[in-house]
Amino acid sequence: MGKLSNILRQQGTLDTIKSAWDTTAAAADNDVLPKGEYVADIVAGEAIESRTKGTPGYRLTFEVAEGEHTGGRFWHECWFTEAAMSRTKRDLSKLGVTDLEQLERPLPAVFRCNVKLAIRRDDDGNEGNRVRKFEVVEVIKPEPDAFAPDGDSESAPESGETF
Amino acid sequence: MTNAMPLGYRIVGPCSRERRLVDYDRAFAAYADCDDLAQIDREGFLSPFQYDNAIRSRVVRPDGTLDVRGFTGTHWSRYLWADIDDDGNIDRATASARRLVAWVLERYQVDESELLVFFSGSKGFHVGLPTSLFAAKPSDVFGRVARQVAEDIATKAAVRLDTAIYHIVQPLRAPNSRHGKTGRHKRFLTVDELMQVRPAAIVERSAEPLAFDLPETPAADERAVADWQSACEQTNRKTEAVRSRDTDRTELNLATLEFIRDGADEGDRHRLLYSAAANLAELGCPPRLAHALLTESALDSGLPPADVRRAIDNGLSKGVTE
Repeated sequence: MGKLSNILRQQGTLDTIKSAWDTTAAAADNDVLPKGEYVADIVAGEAIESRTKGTPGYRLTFEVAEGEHTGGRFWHECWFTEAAMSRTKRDLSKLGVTDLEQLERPLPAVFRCNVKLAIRRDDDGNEGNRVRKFEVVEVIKPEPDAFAPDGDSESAPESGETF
Repeated sequence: MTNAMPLGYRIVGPCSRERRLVDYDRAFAAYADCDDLAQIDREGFLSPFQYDNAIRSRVVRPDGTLDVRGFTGTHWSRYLWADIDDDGNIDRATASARRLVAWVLERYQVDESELLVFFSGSKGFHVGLPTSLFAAKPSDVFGRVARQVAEDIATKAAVRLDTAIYHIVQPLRAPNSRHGKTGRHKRFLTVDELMQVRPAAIVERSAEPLAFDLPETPAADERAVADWQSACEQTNRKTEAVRSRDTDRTELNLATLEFIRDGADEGDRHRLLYSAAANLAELGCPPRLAHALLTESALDSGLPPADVRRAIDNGLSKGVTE
């Protein structure tokens, strides 16, 4: 056993490793956000199948919009099973979904929400976020990129088209 | 030079975020100039290629969000990019980048001021050769030919490249943008700096962005044109070979079997995983089985779980739609 600095010096990597250490932020554990209340945007929605049983569902992607965790993401799954259907309809109705066919199209807007977020731990001790409750507070019409070309929405859905 | 491919996509934030349609040259120039609109203090990416209006068919939202998966239309790039990481060893990566640039300057009639060289902000370098040297025209196989040329050059210069950047969905970090993990910027380097400055000092300099002027476009070089032509022929031969194998295909590709058995090395892992998933889908493999077959090898290859799931899902959707 030797000193780390001696080992790195012998390998010729001391400067590189030191520089990387000094400039790299510690990774968050599995990117799990702390339990609490967040202002977060629903930025995407997509059809999914559960990994174990192939249960169909719809996954909402939330992105934290304010505070120190801005940019962090978490997800909320709505399952199309008999048992879960009432909760799924409740959640999707907050986005104006009244018909399953609406889920065939991308989300028409960004939905800013107040979210209560919890942490769940599975049998193996892995932690993950769980959305306990969310309320839509604002529907934000998506803005094009700052460098969007002229007439860039000609093939996009009509901007008036909503869920 | 061509202005027939004005469009591209831009990602603000991590590269898993939405790809939005942009005027490519305007966006690239803004990043080069450290323009406020470019938001260089955030992570930023640009598409690996430029496209004509056909890419508008991939717009899925009024804000110009694109779904580029499966796009097979005409594309092009002003630069032939080489992405050098060399296993995250900055000293070795620097040596590789120096070899590559030296080899290019030796072989082609190109001035060093006409190359674009960047430290990536993390562990490697991006070297851009102007495609005007090769007289490269837009086509639906441009990316594959570019990859072939880059691989040929890399082999001759004894350099290993990350070839993921030749895939249409894999964006390239934008100049001067901030690296999400290191907090450093993708910084422009003159060829002199690359050749003379110690690797650790190059890393230190990337703490700050550096505005730079876009280089002049050089004229075509005879050897470069011949190299591009040779790569076109190789690409065509490979396409023909795949086409004949695809007729009445009933077996998995060798590459799929190899991926399941051995995984893949850094540099080509995403593409091979994606292709393996697409191949399984072509043969009617259910998604759950495909995930079961590929996930362990992909994780053992060092890919993070989220990347693994995404690549498999993307590959499955491609295999089903084709």
